[in-house]
Amino acid sequence: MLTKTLLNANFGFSKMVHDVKTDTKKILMPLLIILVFASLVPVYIMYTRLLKTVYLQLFVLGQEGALFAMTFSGAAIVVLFFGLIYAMSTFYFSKDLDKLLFLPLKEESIVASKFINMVIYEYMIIVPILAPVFFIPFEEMGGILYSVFFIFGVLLLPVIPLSIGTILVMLVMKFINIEGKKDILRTISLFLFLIVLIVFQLLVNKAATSIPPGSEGEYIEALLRNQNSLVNIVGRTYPPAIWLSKGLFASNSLIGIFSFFSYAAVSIAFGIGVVFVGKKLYVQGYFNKSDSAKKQVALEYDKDVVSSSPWKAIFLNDMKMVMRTPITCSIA
Amino acid sequence: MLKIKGLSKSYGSGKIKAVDNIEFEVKPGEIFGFLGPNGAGKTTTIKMIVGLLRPDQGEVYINGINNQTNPMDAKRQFSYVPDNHEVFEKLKGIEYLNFMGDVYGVEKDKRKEEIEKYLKLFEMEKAVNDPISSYSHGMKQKIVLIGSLLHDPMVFILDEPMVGLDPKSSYNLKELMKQRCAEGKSVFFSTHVLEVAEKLCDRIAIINKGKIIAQGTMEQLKGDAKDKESLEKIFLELTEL
Repeated sequence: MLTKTLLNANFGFSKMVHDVKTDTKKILMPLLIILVFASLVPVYIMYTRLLKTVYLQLFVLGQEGALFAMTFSGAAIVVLFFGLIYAMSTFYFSKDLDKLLFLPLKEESIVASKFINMVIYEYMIIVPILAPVFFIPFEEMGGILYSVFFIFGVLLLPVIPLSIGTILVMLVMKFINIEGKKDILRTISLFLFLIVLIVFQLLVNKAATSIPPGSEGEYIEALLRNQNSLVNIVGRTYPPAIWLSKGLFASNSLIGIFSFFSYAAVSIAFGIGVVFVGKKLYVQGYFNKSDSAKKQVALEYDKDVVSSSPWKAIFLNDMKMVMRTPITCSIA
Repeated sequence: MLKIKGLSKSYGSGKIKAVDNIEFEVKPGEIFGFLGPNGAGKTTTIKMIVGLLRPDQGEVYINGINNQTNPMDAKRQFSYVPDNHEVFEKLKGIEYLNFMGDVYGVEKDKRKEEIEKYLKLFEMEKAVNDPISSYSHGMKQKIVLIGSLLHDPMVFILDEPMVGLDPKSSYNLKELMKQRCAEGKSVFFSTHVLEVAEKLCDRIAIINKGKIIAQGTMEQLKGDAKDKESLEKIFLELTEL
């Protein structure tokens, strides 16, 4: 119930339908959105063809399963990036707790509803990215289990990266939530965290995929000898992608079924984890924030009372508003 | 019905004492007014009652239920109308009312009946299918009021409820408060409008600098003050000490 309300409140479906019904000119907005998506169709066709080509090349090498590992790892990084911004907006800039905490709703229900909202938002990004990946290998691997695993796998895909991103945001907000600090400082800290995370990921990636000098031949031989061994290398930086990939290319074997259920279990565990962490950091953080008092600085009349020309006043006013608005507010 | 015992709250690691060991009780069938100058501790007190702030000390009992040890049951006993009516702007009025009905588990038939009654009372029937973002301040106030009344709460808590309401809605709200009290329920509200408090409230508490400086019926308050003309004079006399 809360999830449905928050979805409607965030996406504004009702408002959009109402606007179109009451003012026909406002149909331009949904039309514009459709036009923007339509303009992306050629790019999407190119992307699908690229995936098909990559798949065929991998298929020749007996490494077709690596397509899954590549796309799932990529999608997870995209989810993490957008997730950080969206988590900041959903949990901290929306200020929903003021409207929800006095209602008879469990704190974990509030966190879970907000998280499910973010997961659904991420589907808008990852479903288009991953939809072709379902069809391209379907001829060779397709079947009931493949379809079921793929659909549930994609539905669960945002959960782990989004949980990591959300917990990161909550940690940043908890530790930077010092009395009197501005939102901008928190936002900058979050992006610094993101940079550190990407650098860390690159270093791990480099270490995981590097081939010891002189052993390139053996490495490639081993790669060609074992079918789909590339999945383990590509997915090393994001192990859940390996489990889901195995679940798909080996969906008819016990290993495949076990891999998929491992992936599903870990995803669900992360989802439950974020609810508990959210209760501790996010809801508790709300009460702690309410406890803090901002320092009041006494006015110095000679220094603080200033006069400017009207144009300068407008310019300075705009500048202050921009500088005091968190960047993510304008992005999200 | 609403019992506050030794409630305290300070901000900034105890540097600023916003509410200092206050005590009062709102009895069944009573309208209780909570007055005080800006920054006196009214909203802090209300937020502690409704669970938006955690007290440093003291207890809050709503219909006999401790709001710290049994928050979910305590929250079902009251309705809260905050002073800022920031509701979900992108929802339509009716969607917000259905959400509130769902939160409090109001059955469909009862919900329909209550929504119809209050929409008519506050003249919101035409606007209820519009997005809340298109509402004026007073209309937002009214939709929040209606949402808070759907489950027929035992304790009705309002922070500055008259601000933004047109005279007719303000009158209707006052009548509604009286009617609820006649049914044995309680109303607790903060206000700056002293005339409203004087005419409407069975009892009044005045808070200043976090402490309750006077409490009782209008007659009792007049008895405490030097000038016995009006609540305004009593208020000014007490808060300027």
